[in-house]
Amino acid sequence: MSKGSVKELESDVRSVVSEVTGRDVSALGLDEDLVAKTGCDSVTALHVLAVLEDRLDLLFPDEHLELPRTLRDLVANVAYALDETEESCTSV
Amino acid sequence: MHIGLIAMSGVRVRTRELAELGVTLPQFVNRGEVIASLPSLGLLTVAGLTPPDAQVSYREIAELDPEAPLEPFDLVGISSFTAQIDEAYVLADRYRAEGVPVVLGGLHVSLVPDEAREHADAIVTGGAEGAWPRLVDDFREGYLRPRYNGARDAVFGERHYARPRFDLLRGRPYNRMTVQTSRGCPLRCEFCAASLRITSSFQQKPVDLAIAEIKAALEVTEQPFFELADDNTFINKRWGIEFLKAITPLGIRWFTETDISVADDEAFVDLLARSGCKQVLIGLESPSSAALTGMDPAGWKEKRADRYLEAIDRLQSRGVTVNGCFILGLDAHTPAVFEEVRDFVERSGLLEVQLTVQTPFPGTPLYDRLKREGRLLQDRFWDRCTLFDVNYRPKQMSVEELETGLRWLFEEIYKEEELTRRRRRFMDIVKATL
Repeated sequence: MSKGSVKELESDVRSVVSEVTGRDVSALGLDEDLVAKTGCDSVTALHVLAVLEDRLDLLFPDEHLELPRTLRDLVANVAYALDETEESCTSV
Repeated sequence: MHIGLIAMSGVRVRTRELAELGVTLPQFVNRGEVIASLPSLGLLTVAGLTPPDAQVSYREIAELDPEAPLEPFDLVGISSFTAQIDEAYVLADRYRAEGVPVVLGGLHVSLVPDEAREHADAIVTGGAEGAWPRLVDDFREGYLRPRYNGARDAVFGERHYARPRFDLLRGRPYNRMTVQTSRGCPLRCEFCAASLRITSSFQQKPVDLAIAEIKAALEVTEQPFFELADDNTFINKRWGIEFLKAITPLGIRWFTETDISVADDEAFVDLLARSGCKQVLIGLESPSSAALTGMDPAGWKEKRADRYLEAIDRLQSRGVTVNGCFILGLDAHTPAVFEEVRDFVERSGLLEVQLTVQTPFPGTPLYDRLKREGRLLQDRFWDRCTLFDVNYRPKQMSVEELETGLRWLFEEIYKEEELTRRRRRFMDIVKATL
């Protein structure tokens, strides 16, 4: 999967959410209620986050181990985790 | 004829300190909220048993407003959890005062029928199968008998079975749908107040009927999470294999309650994981076998306790999370049990944990025994049957020690760092299976 622009990240996130929840979120608005639209329970949410970590080679910080309210927030969390993961790798 | 079917759907913890904990530790009430947010499958089944020429409306009341105007019906059927039964009685009394006949049914009414009769024109005990169609016929002829006994056997057979009216939920915001595949449980644990109390033997729904119900539910809600409303789904592994093979192609995500033997066979667990099962709720009850002596007549749970950790690991390593349920305040429990449970949860890696206090629901062998032993704090405490409020004197600790220990354990298990630790561990398991 890509690690490029935010737009590309958004596409990756949509793809993983659709795959794990079984609901097509390709047309979901960035600010729509993600949990309501996907019917995502807490266990499925962790599946989504685990698959994102695996595909994008990142590690969410502890405070982001829940599905945020919107797709926009999730993309932001992914971008943040990518930056943090990269930073911790380069500082070692 | 317009029949109103009303489900009392809200249960609230009565002990103030525990209610406050629910605000600061939302996970502690999570499971209870899920149950309360499910549609009443019992009343949807009643609707399915109603002759098609009668109009049926399904309603849910989470909190009764005694001043609210009553919706007009020709006949009212009310079902309620024990904890909300007094509100159900208030509602029933109001309808009857306005001349509308009321029928009460459900588990509590079946277990305490004499009490319920004082608030109803008729009661239905047992399941609605075999009772409700007769009741509607009688109502049309202008005469309701005081009591209708539902069938206790062959409830899923051709003579009695009716598919629940999932169509009555159309347009409502349910993320979870519920389907029943069995009724009863051969373990017959002393405390259990579930459907085993209204059946004479374990009843298993044929796989094709269960799958047809899931498909019917899928027609009215968009890709819901399914919850099987069973006491113990996988008693019969042969049926289980057939069911798992049939549910897999539906591509749904689902949850059920079962016992630890679900993990006995690796091939079965693989099938379970592939079928879309995301979580099984298992009544572990206590971390050590010593406390499980006498819980069920055959001593089954006592014999199984030493395999808990292995079973949890086998399920969760395949992505099927375990919601482990513990009952605090069993007769063998001393104040040391709270730390024992906390340590077991840490060792096990359980993603979700349900902590409850032993609750002597009316009509159960536990209630009868504690009453006999003079250990009930009061004879009638139905609004405190919340699974969190203490209603009896524990054997090896005081009421205060049990309440204090519970609050301590809730805080230990549901504090943010513990939740984070369990989430991280589960995500690592998921990643290992990708």
